[in-house]
Amino acid sequence: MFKKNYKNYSDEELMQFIKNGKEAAFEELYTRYADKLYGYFYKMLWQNVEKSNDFTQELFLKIIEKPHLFDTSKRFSTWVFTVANNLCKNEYRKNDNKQKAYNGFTYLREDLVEYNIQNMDNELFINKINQAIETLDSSHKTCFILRYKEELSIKEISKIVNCPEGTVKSRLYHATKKIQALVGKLAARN
Amino acid sequence: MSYNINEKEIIIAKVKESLQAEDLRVSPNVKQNLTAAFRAKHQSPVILAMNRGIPLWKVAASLLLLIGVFSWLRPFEKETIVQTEPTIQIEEKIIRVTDTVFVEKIVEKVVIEYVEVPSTTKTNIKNDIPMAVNAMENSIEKVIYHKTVDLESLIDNYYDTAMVENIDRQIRGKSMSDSDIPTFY
Repeated sequence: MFKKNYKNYSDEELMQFIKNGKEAAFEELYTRYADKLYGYFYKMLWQNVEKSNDFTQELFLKIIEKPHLFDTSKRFSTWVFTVANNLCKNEYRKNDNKQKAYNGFTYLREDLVEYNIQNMDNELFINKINQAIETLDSSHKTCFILRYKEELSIKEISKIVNCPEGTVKSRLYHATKKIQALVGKLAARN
Repeated sequence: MSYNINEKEIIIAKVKESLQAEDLRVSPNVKQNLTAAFRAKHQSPVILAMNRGIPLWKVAASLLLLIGVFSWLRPFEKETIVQTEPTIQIEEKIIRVTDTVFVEKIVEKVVIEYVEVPSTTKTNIKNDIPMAVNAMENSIEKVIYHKTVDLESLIDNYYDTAMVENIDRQIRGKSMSDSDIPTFY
């Protein structure tokens, strides 16, 4: 039996194959989205590796068990990030992390002031950005990650977070402003 | 802290670049689990049994055993089903049926007996006997009225209520005492 090459198929077509029980199609879709979704969960769930892995697995299990929930006439990326966002929201409800985020913000500002540009490398810079992202409100954080990490359009983000495009733009503006305030000094020096 | 537009763009570009360059990879265990889950949902039970590691020789031995059992049971099955030609016996039975109908006619016979006690009424009897001779006899004469009414004839033929009542009235008209009530047998 020859294995079909699913690399040339779109995400939506792959979902159709998955409905019909094609394992290779599922593997292709997993290759395309597993790391992206893991990264999203990692950013959204306080950089918790275990939680990120669990949530990624949970999301793909949904794809396996209930592929009929996806409407093939719509974009898969929008749908999958909507599901991911809902999973994160549920987790936020379980763990009210607002206080934690505020404390993190205070800590980060002091840390940034003391930070020496001479020692800064890319990895450290990413760490600082992650810390800065952690200080954002969950709704702002979602918009910021989807826009600047996943490079989704404003329209897509508005569908994922179920808000008007204007609200998404506003959230992005405030999130960007906050991030700038935190890492701007370092970036400028760099 | 204030920055001009150019500086902001630089910062955002830097952040974006850093975020995308970040190497975040999901655990390989996740893929293993998901592949197993996918197979469990979509693969047939036979393939799943094969995947579980059931050796082929065991499967073959089981099949042979099953075939052996069936071939052993088959002769018994043949013996039990014996096909015989059906013999048709025609027996002619003549049943004569005689119906006798007895019609019993029950007729209720009512006998009305009326016993007349000596009447105190004076009866004028006209006859050819001279009054002088019969005067004494007539005065002490006790008229005994006896009449039997057979209703059978009335019922069998027709029942004329008016006639029966008339007869009854006539009978009653002869007596005035309580003892005049007719006796039914």
